[in-house]
Amino acid sequence: MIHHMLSTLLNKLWSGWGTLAGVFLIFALWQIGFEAFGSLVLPAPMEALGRLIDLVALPSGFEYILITAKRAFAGFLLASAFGISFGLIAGWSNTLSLLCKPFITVALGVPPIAWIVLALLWFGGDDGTPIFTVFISTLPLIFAGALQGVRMREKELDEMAKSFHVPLIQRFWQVQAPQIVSYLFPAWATALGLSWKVVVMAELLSSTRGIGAGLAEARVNIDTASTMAWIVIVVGLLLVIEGMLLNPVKDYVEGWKHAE
Amino acid sequence: MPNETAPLLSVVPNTSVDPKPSALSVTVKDHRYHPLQQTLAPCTLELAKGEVVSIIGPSGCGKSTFLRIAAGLIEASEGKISNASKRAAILFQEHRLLPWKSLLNNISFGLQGQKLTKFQRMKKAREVAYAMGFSEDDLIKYPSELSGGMRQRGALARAWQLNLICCFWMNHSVRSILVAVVTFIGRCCTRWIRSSALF
Repeated sequence: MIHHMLSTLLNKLWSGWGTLAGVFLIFALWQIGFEAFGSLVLPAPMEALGRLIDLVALPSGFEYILITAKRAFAGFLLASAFGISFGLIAGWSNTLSLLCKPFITVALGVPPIAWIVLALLWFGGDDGTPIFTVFISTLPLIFAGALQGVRMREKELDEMAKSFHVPLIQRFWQVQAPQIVSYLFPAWATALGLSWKVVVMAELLSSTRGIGAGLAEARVNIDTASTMAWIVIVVGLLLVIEGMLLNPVKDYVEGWKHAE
Repeated sequence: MPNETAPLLSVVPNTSVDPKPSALSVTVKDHRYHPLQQTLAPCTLELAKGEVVSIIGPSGCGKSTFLRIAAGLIEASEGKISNASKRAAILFQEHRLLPWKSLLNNISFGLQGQKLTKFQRMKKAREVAYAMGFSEDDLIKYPSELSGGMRQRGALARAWQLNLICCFWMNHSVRSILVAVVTFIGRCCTRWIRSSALF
């Protein structure tokens, strides 16, 4: 048991080294870009990092990050709730999945930028626009993941559970849910990444506060260092979310797949 | 797929001289998956306690469908079943263990349809697993970590613990049944067979 825990810890640390090496490589390439093209195209990495610390140290900078995170999560959680419940229902009912198809095509086909314009008209410049844009652009992904999960499950296992007269709710939780999750999870992870990108884009065009608004400000001032600092913040937060939230959840729900 | 006119499966009724009370009686008058295509022609089967019957036939003739109906997994379009034990244990051709559950949890999963507490389920499953020759280490393994024979044995344990009168061996080749019987079960299984009606 202790041996097992130790080896998992070592594995984690080792993969951490890999990630760190990748990050440093990016900074090295960035430095080369700065030396080749000058500070207007790419600011020095150290300068951008210094600006990043300044930005986060400011109360307004920290507030911007919180606001953006709140909007991204609100949109993402709403999309998860609706996407998963409708996906499950559509997976079980043929008629409903046929009915839902055009909606999904429309939601996937309309570019996020068009949704932003529509949302601006509907919700104005407040929280509503970024939240709605995140919601509408991640919803189809999550819906399709849940639908596929229900559709692709092994009917033989359902039959087995039925032959043991396992109650319906237990049949769902213990037999169907793990199969659905293995389809849903990749879609869910993609949607989370997408929600960060979309929220920044929506804020850039619609909001006066948030990371996107900070980027818009930096653009107006032709401040490349601040722009890069905001980009580093967005990417860094995404990495943190992936490491702290997605990977542990993934290990938990898919642990049985990695059993040797 | 069988064509629509052929009498697809006819099971010879049990015409023993000394009629025992039947443990299982299945009468199928008609069964169709598709309204225009008959899958099963009328057939009946009477089984007494302790009787072992094999259903043999070319592929696609309706053996599995008949067994599904007899086991109560699906309902015949027209016909009736009476099973003395109300329920049936089914051993499928494949093991059908849940890949995300450990062996012990898989075995106790078979008891979920009964009114037992979780503790009782675990206790019973553990007893059966030990009786089947599994070690403590095996119980926490996932099916992917077990050998093919052990998986089959796990599936057998899951069905066996129900102590039902009626057990169906779905679509097993003679070889796979022999392997299962030879590898472990020898004595226990014969005892079981004596008290059960088996396909």
